[in-house]
Amino acid sequence: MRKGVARLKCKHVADLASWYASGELPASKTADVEAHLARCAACRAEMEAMTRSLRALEAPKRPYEPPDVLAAVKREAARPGRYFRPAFAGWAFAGAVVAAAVCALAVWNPFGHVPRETQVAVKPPARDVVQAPPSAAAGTPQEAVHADKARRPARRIRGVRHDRGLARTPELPKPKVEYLIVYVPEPQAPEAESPAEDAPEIAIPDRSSYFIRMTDPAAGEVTTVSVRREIEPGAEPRISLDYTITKIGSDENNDERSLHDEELLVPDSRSIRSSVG
Amino acid sequence: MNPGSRLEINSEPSEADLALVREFVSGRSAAFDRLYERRSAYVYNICLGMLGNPDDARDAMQETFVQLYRSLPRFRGRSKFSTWLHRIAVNKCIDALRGRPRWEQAESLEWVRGSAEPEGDKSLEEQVRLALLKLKPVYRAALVLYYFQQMSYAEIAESLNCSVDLVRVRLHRARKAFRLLYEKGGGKVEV
Repeated sequence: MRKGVARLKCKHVADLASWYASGELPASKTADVEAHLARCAACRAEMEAMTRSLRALEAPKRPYEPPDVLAAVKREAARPGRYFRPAFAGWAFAGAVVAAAVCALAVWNPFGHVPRETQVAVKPPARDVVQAPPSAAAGTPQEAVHADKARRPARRIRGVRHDRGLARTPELPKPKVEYLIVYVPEPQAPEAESPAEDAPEIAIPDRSSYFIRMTDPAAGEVTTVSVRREIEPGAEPRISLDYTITKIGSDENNDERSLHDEELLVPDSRSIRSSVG
Repeated sequence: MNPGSRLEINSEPSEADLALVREFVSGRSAAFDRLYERRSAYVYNICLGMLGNPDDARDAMQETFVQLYRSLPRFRGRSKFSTWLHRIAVNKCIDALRGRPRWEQAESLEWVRGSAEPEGDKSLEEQVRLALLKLKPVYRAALVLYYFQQMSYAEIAESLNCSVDLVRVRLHRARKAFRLLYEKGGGKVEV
């Protein structure tokens, strides 16, 4: 035996076999393994088996063509989920969500429509409430704990009073209720019960055509009435009315504004009566 | 063979991948299509090697690219894009293997036995894949990435999110286990 070569046992060589067969064994160990293999037929057979298996792994493999799943990937990725985070939304998306939530709370008060001036704090019904000891100093953690206990009613389970001191979800701030500002048109005449019948009469001046625009903020509509007075010699004057209703904020036809028109604010934009003088 | 000298076959320029990622993040969805074209074959063969049948490999590949699509805005370029993608693919495969009932493994075995090769030694690859199917997922991953995808120890460590030393240990144990299964399966074909 060569000087400096360690005498390895079969179990050591078996443990080093994979490194030796793959060529990763350091040179010093390689000599020891080869010395053992020279005198041990069983380990030689094991080493040959290990070499065969590694050569099989190293043999080139047939690459398989992938199926086309790109469309399915995009469909699946477009579905909103926990991990959906489109690159282009970012803060804008978060801001839109917050704004929608604020608007929803401003309009819909889930706790009931309580006028702002009559809002009161809603307290849970009084039960077995633990009173805070008067000796608790202000601003200390002890006071915070006792204050918290004072808010939370103790639970009674099987006649035994338990206060498990479980952490509670902090109370959500109550939403601020504000009424929508609505422009209220002039009230109707107290004796008027049927707007259709008691609607103020609109005197149409002596013009060949007349244009009336009535704004009804309650309905969010603008009623535009085009009045044409046709006068034919020897015939009774005829009044023709054409009206259109458009939503407030929609584009107006500036050409119409150039006609003779007057803006009136009437309770009921649809009921007009004309009198021909 | 000294693993330190192994060529990093996957070290094709990653600048192209990074450029596509930047394009996608800035809003050009067509960049993702090109990323898919560049990497789909690679990912599919990883999944096929790990899962052993085309249906599972297809599902795993799809899930990989779905997660890639969703995670691309968060990619910071600290690691290579390819290793990051491989990590996703390997994790999806390992998750699939952990949730797989025993009877499903028979489908993989049937596919491996039935997959026909136009040329070459059919039984050799069949024996290799059959033996791989019986390994533990982490051992299977190590062998597939090292021998099928020709990745270096460092790349495998990044893909499996572990140290290089752990990769050495896993490969060592995987080779030992594979050798027993390969010989048991009749793998006596001389290469």
